[in-house]
Amino acid sequence: MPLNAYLIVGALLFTIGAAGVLVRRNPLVMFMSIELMLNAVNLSFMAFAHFLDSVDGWMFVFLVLTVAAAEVVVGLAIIVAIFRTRREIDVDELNTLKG
Amino acid sequence: MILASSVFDFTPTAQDWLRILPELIVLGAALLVLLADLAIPAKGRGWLALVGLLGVVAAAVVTAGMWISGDGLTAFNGMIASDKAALFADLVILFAAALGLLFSPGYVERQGIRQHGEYYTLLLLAALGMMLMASAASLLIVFAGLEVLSLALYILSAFIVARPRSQEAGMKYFILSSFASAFLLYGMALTYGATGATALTAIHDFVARHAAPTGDFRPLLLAGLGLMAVGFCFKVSAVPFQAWTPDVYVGAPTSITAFMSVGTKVAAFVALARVFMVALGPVAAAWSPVLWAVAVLTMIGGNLYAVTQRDVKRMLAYSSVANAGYMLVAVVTGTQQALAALLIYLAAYATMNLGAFGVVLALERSDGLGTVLEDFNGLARRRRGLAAVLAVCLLALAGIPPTVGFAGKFAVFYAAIAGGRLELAIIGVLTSVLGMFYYLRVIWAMYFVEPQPARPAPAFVVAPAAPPASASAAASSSTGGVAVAEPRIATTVRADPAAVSVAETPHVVYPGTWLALALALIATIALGILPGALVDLATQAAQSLLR
Amino acid sequence: MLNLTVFTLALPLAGFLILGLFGRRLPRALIAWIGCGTILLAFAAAAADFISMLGTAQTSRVADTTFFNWVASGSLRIDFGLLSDPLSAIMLLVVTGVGFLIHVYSIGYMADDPGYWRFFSFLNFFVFAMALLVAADNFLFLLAGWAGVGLASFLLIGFWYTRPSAVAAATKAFVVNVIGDFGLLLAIFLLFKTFGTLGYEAILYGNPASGHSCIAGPFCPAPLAIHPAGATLTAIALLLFVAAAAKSAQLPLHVWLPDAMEGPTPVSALIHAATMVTAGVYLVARAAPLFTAAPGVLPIVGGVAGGTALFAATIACVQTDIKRVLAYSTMSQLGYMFMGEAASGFSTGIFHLTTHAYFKALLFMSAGAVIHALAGEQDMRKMGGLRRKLPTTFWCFVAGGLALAAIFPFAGFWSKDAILGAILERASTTGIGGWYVLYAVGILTAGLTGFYTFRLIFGVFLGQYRGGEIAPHGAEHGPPEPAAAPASRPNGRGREVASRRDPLARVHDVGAAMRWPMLILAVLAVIGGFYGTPFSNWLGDFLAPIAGTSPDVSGGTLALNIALGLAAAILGIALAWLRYGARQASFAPTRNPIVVFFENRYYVDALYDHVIVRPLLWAGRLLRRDLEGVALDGGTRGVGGVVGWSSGVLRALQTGYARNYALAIFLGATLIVVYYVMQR
Repeated sequence: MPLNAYLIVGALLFTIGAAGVLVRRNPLVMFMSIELMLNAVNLSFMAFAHFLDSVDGWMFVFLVLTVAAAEVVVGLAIIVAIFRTRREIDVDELNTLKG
Repeated sequence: MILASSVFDFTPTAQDWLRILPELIVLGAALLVLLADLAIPAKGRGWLALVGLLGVVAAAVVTAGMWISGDGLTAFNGMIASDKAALFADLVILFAAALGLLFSPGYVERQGIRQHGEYYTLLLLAALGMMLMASAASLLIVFAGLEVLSLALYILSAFIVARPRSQEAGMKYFILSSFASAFLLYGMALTYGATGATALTAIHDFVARHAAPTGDFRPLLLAGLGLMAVGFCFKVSAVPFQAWTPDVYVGAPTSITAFMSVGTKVAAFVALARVFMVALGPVAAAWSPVLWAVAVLTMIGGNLYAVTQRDVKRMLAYSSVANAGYMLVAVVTGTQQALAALLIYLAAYATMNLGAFGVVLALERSDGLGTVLEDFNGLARRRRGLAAVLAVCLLALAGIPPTVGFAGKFAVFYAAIAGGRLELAIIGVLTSVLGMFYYLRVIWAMYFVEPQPARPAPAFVVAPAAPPASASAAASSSTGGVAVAEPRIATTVRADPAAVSVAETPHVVYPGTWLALALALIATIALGILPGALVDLATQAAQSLLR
Repeated sequence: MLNLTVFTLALPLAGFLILGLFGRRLPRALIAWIGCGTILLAFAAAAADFISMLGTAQTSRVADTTFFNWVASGSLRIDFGLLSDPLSAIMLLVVTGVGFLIHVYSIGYMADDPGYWRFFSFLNFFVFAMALLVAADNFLFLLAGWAGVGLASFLLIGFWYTRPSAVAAATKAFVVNVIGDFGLLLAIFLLFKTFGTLGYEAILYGNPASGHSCIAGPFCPAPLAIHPAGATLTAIALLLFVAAAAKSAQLPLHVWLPDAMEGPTPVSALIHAATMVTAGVYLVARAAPLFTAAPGVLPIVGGVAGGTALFAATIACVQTDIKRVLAYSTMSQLGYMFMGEAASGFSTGIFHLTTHAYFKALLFMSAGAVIHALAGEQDMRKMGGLRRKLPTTFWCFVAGGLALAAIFPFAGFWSKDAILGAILERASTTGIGGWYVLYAVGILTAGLTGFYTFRLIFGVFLGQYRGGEIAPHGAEHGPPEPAAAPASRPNGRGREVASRRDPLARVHDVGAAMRWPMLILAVLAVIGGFYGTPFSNWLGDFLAPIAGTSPDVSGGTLALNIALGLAAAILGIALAWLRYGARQASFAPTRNPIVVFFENRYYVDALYDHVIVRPLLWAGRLLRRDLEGVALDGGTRGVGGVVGWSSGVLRALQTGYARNYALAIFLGATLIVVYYVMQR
């Protein structure tokens, strides 16, 4: 398959992920959308690494996977902390800070 | 697919480790704090800050030593730089971390934070991430440093678990920052695809050889640097990517706000300079229009937002946006002199902003409130020292000589004019005039407005028993749906002695806070009267990075 | 040659620090001694410099001492140095001399004020900043002093901060001054870019020994090495003039000065009449070579100055607040100084600066004495007939008034004559009609000056007293002293009877601390002009190496000039006598549209309010409200605290702000991508 095919799929996934962040109100789902964006990036990295025949891209992919895992932990921790006090996790409810 | 096997031949040498010694020391201090937390009894947890502080000071000493005798080369096969720009940034970040640590013990106590060990560990890890990001010689390390600092700061922003504002700050910061990170990462991927490299020198060589001479930029490269610009602009709080800044700065514990407002800016700006001014310098024609527009929007927007703020903490957050605009002027200018000016401004911003947030922190009540403009009325008579420090720092932020803020603004605007960006200098100067309004208003309140009669404490806090809390929660359930008053929370509030005493008498300002404020004050004034040394260091740092 | 300038700076600074840090705990007498003593010693240092300068050959009257290196990095090198040359020597003498007298006056004037120590520490700070402004040897430290005096002015205008009007006035003054500061900053950037340095010596006066050379001009002894483009010079000079106009209250940046009268009267005398507001005049004289070399700038200066002189004089004719009359008069006289400088008579501007410092400080002090005596009354409609009650004040006022109106042989006569002569000479040598117009404006303003000055004197001191009974205590003081009123009550009955007979029974003339400074200044207002007569122009010669030789008229033209100026002034005084002196002064309100227009200050303030201030506030609010959510701000208007916040959460509309922020990021990214697509 040509490089462009990978890139187009990557761009589509990224856009879907971004749209998910914009339209969903549940932080868990938003969070999954962000993961989708990261994986779209991973796909691009892998495609580039393959076609450029360079390892940099692969290294990046491993780093992103690790970071994503760490983000899951931190994100869930914050969600749980909020859930404990509010019994509800709607991002739109978090709007006392504004102006 | 055949991998180039030569890459894997690399073995780290002792030199490699020495070049990242400051980072290692901070990491060691973070781990040491975590261990010490287990050993030290609950009452003596303030000592954890001291452990961290010692680590930070040691790292600063090592950094200074490396400035004098280091080889300035990169470590780990061109991944991490130890040039003077990195060391300069490290010093500023360590200064911010030291002041953050000094601010913390009293404040953390008063805000009812229990998990001291985690708090200090995360603060040090955030500093580590900042140092890594500022020292990055590869996109990979830029991203790694960014994530280390961000992950630590997400948690720290949400650290006052029982306070909704803190939770909200953490949540917003987390979602938005991850979102922006994804853009940054995608930009990096596309840049990698366009140039075939992630090492900054290799990117520089590629664009200098292929893109710059023809002036024909491949769309992949353009998209890549555009998306990277988005990510960086988010991190430095530039308009229109600034929206998270005030919310997070206000909601987060003030000690963290003070630290991160400075540290994140330094890390992100130095990384931005490395990626855009240096690596992508040959194709400045491609990115400078975008950053030009962002700089103008940020200078105007940040100041306009700040003008109508009533909460001083929030005003300072918007002031941080406005200051990002001035720093972006230096980035857009792109000359070596501008890079030096950027570093001067970062150092100046560090001293004056830490001082200003430090005073806000010292005044903040145990419920996290008490930072509205009215609370500053007549402060000069109640708290002369605090008022004086804040006045000097605000004058510095407004750019009045002979403070360091003036030296910073002078350097940046002068570099802009010398670099042919007269229009940016003029916009910067005009928006600075706007900035006078809101800085001045606080000074005015402190010195010239009669203090208000002691505000009666809000009834619901004076009587923190369960009934009102559950009543309000019940009210919440009628609109919100699910919520039922959870007794445990109410108990927490009641059990926390700090939360009960909102009608508290003026609390003690801890010696550590005083020390930190004195340091910030002295630096703000001394570097303003004699900025020679700072200019010297910044110029050397800029020379190490951009020739 | 001596250069003791550093003491002239350090002593007031020391006074400021001592009083600022410990003043609260010091006894009043000691505060007064420190406050005045430091200034007196500073004056002594300035005088010693001046005397040693007189003993030096005219060509080598420059001593420039570098103290430390502020910045040295590559091409950027700026030193902190202090300069003693004829111009700075004259300025320092005025600043510390008049400054000292006003400090002494303040001992009496502020005697009852609770903020005594604060007042003196601010005043000392002002003298320090002003001395730095005039003694700096480069533009950067000029800017530091420039900003410092602005800050001092801000603090002192707002000294009585319990009055909302004082707060508003202080803020206004600061904002306008900041505009000027940034004009100066931009000028400095351009200077540095053009000349590679900021030192006066290198830029303005040339120094072949150090390899520098100056720009073209009559003062430049060395051949040119740098030939900046005319447009660059014009830009620099115009930016400098923006700064000068803001500091010296010239159109259209004048709005702050009349409001600045909210400050205590000694402040009005020192800062808003004698010294700070003349900083712009000093700056233009200092940068005289630049202004001369910059094409097309001096006519602009002349136009603005002439406009201001006339504008302010007309407004002064209809004001009824005695301090505001003097404030507009100051504006008008500052315009005069700039007019002289515009006609290349830079030393005439400085000459008028010195005489104006004497008589305007005297007039403000006298006005302060009246206000003090009348327990804070400033409206001249409620005055009259005070001559017998306040004889010293009256005669001081007359001396100052005659000097201001430029009556022979008072100080103002000689300096105003020198300015008008310079303009007339300029007009006749160039033959350009504009200079004749400016001269006519000068004569007309001279007439108006005579009118409003004596309208003030007649209104306040002649005729019958028109006001009410005078309370026994207090001046114009802001912070009310609740103890004062009850204290007078116990034996109040007898006094009431007495006061019914004479409402001015308790009015008394000034005490010693206020009297002596006034008398000294009165003497100066009478004789202070003799060092600059057209027959032996000592000051002009003294300043010539720095400010150049001013054009001057002689012979028949001189006689004509003197005759026209005197005739206008006497005519103005005569009109004032007819209207306000010969019969009971009448200040009845009028519907005359011209007077109403003047009374509303040409509606400039209202225009600024509508065009600048309100839109700015509106834009700020719009950004805050509309872009970051339209919901009610539960935090600030609710009950506050945790419940307030959580109820805010519940009340909020179902608009997800975090998602709005994300949308902003997304749109920003889209915009950038679209921009790149469009590029291709």
